[in-house]
Amino acid sequence: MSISLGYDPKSKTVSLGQGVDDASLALEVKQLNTLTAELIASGSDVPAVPTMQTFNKDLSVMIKKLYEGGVQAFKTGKFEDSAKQFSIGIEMISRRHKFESFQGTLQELSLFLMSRADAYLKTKEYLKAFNDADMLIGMMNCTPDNFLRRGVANFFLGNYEAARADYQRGLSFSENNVRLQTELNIVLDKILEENGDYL
Amino acid sequence: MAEESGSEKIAEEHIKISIYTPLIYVAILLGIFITFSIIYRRNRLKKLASIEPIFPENQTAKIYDSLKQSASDPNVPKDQKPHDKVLKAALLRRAAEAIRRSMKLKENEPVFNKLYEEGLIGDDIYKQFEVQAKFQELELKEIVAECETYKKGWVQTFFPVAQEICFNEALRRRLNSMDERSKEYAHLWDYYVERSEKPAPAADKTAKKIKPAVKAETKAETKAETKAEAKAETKADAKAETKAENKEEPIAETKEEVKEAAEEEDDEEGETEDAEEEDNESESTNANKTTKSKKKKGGKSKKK
Repeated sequence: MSISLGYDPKSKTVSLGQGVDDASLALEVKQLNTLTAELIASGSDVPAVPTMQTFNKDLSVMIKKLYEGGVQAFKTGKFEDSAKQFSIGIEMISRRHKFESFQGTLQELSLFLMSRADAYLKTKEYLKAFNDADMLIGMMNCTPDNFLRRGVANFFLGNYEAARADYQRGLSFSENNVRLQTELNIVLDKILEENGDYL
Repeated sequence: MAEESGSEKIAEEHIKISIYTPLIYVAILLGIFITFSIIYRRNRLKKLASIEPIFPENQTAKIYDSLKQSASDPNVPKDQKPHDKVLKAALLRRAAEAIRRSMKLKENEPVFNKLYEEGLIGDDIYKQFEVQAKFQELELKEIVAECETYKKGWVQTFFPVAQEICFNEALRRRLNSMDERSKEYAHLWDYYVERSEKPAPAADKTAKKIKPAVKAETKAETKAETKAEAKAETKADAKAETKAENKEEPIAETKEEVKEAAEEEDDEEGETEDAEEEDNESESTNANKTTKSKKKKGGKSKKK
């Protein structure tokens, strides 16, 4: 039942044995090596209980700086630069140790994804904006703003029905959201137009 | 006297039964029982083994077993044995996978129960679910026992850490799949993505021309067809026939073809409007309004 694995004592990494060609197994081995490296880097015998106190604060400072840089670029109208900064920030977040607090990681990531989705909408990269907004909805599915983001992306991608559904879902969380109502009216007009009808 | 002698004989016969007889009887009974039990258990085990697992093979458990085996193997030289932290990492990953599976099973438990109660799934599938749940329990117990061999009391912090690893890995998986998904969506929505993200003026124009032209064509066709049925000899009828012929033609693919088709449609649209004016029907005015409103809304959306 056991699999043939190779082990390098110098780098303390595991590798697949000769003749083993399995993509999923290779991924598992890669993830194991990442976790081993993180465990060794942590220095402790066993990893501590993940809390916000044990969160890597040095990395948090760097990530915050990147975020501020991105926001500054957004304010000055450099949307592409802003999107790049946010992408780098997201990459840094995903490099955090796997045994660090998930709650902290989620908070940081959602902040970056929101800003990046807005930057993509400004640079007219609607597909990327859609992806970010979709991920955000998966992470926080009660935030109307995320539905607005995905709805706008869907609208410009030509998925009017999907955009309508997004706006309506957003409105179910915040009935008096003026922006959502306006966008919903626009998309309803567009759907009528698509169907060869009018009000 | 004769009766007394008869009863004595019977008593003598009873006494003659060997002492081993009940023992043999009990032994045979036990033998049969044990044989039955063995066969029954073997069959049950076979049935359990034949149940298809819900989850795919547990790779993390296999990796851990393999590493543990080489760590405890006396034939493997000491410097080639996996480091303690490698084993710990492998155990943490195994626990993370076990937690993921347990959570999936818990998530789906009410669904399985409801479906089974309503008779929408069979006994075999429900049994499959139950076996998997039991198997996960055993897996977690085994992990706890393994965990204790590395450090006493590590179990207290082990599972919270494994849970964070499980969640963080899930988040990274979703993040990493974004690029791949983006490619698939780009392929799926190719037309819209090209139109909205790379506004090439020529492509945009053709795209805009196609839609109103097609809509006008379909509208005019339906109207003209109804009129043709009613009157059968009007101009609209003849034009409807030509449009029906046009409809059967393959969709123009090149830009030039598209432009030509759009121009033709514009001309035909004008002609149908004339025919409709002759009939003095309110529908024609509606159609005009629709096309106008479309143009206006198209302009609006373009501005947006």
